[in-house]
Amino acid sequence: MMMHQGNFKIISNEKTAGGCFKLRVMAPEAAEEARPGQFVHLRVQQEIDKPFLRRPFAVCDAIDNGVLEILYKVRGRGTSLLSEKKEGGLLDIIGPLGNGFDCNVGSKRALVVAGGIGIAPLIFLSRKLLDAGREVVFMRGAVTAGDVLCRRELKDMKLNVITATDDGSEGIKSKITEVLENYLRKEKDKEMEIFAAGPRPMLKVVARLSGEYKMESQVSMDEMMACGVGVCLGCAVMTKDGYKLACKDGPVFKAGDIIWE
Amino acid sequence: MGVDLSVTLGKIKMANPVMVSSGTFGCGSEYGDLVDVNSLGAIVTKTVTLKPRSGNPPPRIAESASGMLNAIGLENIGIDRFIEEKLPYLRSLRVPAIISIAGDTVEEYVCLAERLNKEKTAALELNISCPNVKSKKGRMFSQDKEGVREVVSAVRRQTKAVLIVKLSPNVTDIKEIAMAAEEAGADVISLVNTFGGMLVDIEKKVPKLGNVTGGLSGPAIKPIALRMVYEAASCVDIPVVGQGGIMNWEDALEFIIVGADAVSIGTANFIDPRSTFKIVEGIKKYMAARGIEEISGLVGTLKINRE
Repeated sequence: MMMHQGNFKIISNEKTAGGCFKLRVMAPEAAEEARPGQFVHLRVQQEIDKPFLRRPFAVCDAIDNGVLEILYKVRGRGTSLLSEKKEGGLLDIIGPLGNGFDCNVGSKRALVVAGGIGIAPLIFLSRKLLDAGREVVFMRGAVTAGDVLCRRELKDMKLNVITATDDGSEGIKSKITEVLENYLRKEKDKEMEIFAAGPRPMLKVVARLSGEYKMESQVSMDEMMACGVGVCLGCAVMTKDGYKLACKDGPVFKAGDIIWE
Repeated sequence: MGVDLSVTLGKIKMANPVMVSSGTFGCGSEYGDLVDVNSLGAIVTKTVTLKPRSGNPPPRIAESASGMLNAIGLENIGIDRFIEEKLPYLRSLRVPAIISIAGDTVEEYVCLAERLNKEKTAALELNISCPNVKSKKGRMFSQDKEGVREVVSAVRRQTKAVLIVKLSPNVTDIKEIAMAAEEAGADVISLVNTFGGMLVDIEKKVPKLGNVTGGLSGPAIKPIALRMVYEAASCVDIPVVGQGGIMNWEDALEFIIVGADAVSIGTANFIDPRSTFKIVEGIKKYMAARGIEEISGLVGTLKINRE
């Protein structure tokens, strides 16, 4: 697997739900190499002003026609500047980077758990799992109905979607981790595997549950990064085997390997 | 017009004066997909210590205005694994590989130099200026001239390898530190390492770094680094490697004009791994446009008009 760097052409950069944008760039080499759970490192602007460092974004999809998709939420100056990028413009991208999800763990049913913008890498993942003939149950958590992401993407795929919102304005009124816990309690067939991305407290609960139910689970860790390729050693994640790097060893780890405290 | 960019630091012959700083380029192979490592002037490796070090607790990095704060804590695999796993690749390069070493004590520096001597390593950089780890005496060796003298002269007795001493900017008078390194037998001095700094999360009222404080790098420090390189270069006769916030060829030329024989690129690698290559090209064009045939014709050419 090889990483690429280049100025890639923006095809579209459109607002979706909940203050999020979907960016599509034509990056054939990177799109072809990308695997679910990997990320790209974007240079949002050329000045030495903020944001100074690159910003990592999960690959939301990498479609066969050379298009790389990124789903991002506008949070600070970097994502705000990114949201102003226009179709036809160029974007400096390094990628694909990191160690993504291992999608080849047999034929178990996949429970995909998405918290907020953590849904981004799980779209690509679900598509690959379905392509491999796996059964996918997609659990999607959001604060409120207006923040529910990837409606169209999920509709286009044949999978069972369970939505939960904190305020109950759509789907079940619950935390997505409670949805997962109930599902695991009721389901007799334990031949399942969990894939999750979202806020750290959510992932910590996923790790606990997968331990209790003795299931494999893979989680994508979101860390501050500088280089993105494993030289600065800035994105350390504590694991049972000591510090690992989110950019190179991860961002996807086995939940049971992470020391969560 | 062809221009000659070659420089010699001690006995290190480099095809161009643009090298990469320790801790910002791994051991060379990591950026291999994106950069032709053999186009660098030289590579300074991530600092290696006698025993493996696990590094500081996260968060280890934070961003500030035009800069980056880090407290990695010299995470590395230790000299045994370094020699086994990293040295063969570094030896295969056509550009000089300078091995950065650090110890908690003078004895550890000497021991590391001894080990690398056996491997016939041509050049060492003594990292006596990491702000994120404490030596046995509770501060950096590079913070007083006695500390500099002690560690540099001890390593000097041990090795014939070219000795680059990397200095800290966290000192009152960089000139006396630079002169102490020269007197103790340094072949080259390199400066600056990062400036001690900190950032606070005002919501949680906690430091943004797990280590509380860290080292600031990037364009935010460039004018201060430049002043210190200027001062150091004016008082030593050995070659000087200038660094601190260099982002482009214009920055690099400023360091060369104030007296740096070579420059080193650090944080800029994270933003654009091809920075080094672009800086070399920029310097070439600058020289060609002005009919400067050799890079040495630019070093220390600062004109100061004092009436």
